[in-house]
Amino acid sequence: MNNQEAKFRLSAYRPGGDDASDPAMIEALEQARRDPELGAWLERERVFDAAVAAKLSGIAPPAGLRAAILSGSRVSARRPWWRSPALMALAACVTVAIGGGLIAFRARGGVPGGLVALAVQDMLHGHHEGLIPQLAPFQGPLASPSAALDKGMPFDSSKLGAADCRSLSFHGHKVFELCFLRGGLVFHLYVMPLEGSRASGPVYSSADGLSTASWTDASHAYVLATKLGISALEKVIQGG
Amino acid sequence: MSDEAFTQLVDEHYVSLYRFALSLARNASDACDLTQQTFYLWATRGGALRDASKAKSWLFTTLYREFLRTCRRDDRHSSIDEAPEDSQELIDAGPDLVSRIDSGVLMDAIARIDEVFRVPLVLFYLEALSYREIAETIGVPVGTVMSRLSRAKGLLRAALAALAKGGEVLPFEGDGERRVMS
Repeated sequence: MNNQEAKFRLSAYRPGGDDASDPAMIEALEQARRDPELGAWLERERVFDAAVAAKLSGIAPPAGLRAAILSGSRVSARRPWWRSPALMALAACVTVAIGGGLIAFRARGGVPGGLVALAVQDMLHGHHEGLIPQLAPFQGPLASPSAALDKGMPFDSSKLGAADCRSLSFHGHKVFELCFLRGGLVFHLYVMPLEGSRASGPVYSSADGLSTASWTDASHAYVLATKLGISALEKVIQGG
Repeated sequence: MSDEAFTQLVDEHYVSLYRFALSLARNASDACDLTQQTFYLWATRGGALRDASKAKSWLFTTLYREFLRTCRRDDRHSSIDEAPEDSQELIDAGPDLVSRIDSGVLMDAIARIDEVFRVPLVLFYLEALSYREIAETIGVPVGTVMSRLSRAKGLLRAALAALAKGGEVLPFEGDGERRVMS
């Protein structure tokens, strides 16, 4: 093996040394030990590789991603979706049958994957507008203790856009965000139009000091988020 | 699959998968979605995998295929697939430069590399997969992985050198940044 071939192999030698027992690498490493020039090249490469790997490891996932992945695992008295044979079979069939964009969202039969994570990220980092007059027709009914969101939204969701409600983009689809107060406590509601949806949920999850409830009705997906815990969410969802 | 086993699987791999997804999708929102979709597919299909030691490779392979299937976008960035002629630039972009920049700038540099080279490069630096596993993940021979890695590192040095010289830094939508707020 010449030095060029050794360099070729050693380009794939991980900086942490995980490949030290690989036969192809053992031979190339031995060559580097014998040849000072190759050895110096390898040392430079390893330092550079280690620096890049370390820097890459500094990238942290958004808060709430783990909780979003695990959504369902902490739903009291509900079987997580990945343990429900009927839901899995249905989702698998639909996923195979159709694909892409909004259609893929429907295939999961519930809240689109990533929507909860988006809500959590926005909760943590978004610039929220708070209570503003133009949104009073929406924020007012949400503040009513008697409003049970699982019985239906106490406003016409299709008018959020016309009211210039703050929105985020999620795979090209608008997700409206509304802050509201219930009993002096702050909640954030995310509303995503979802044509052809079907009712599901609510699914509760909690992580990193944030709690969410997510559900769908016939035309929308919803995420309700707060820092006040799942019991606070349940009161808003169920009313009272 | 039990709740505990699924949680353990998520805890072991979701961070690396997210970083890989971020390098592919180039924005946090799509990277989250790719990562979630990968575990969703695991729940529906991967649980039947007989060899538990293959779970990691399965997850990375699935994420990559999902990206190819659903998330590949028209490239808004001008990809680099040739190293600059000035070899001195490559020498300048060493570990000292890497240590001075933050992770976001590194991702900017990586994002400028053509996907053919970027994918094995990121998998290599995540250190989660061997070069043989990378070959399986992207479906190319082992020799091709080595070749692409060798060239990808040169391209990364070139991109970093360009950034260091004050060259154009194309925006990378990473952690903490939303894609579009209207």
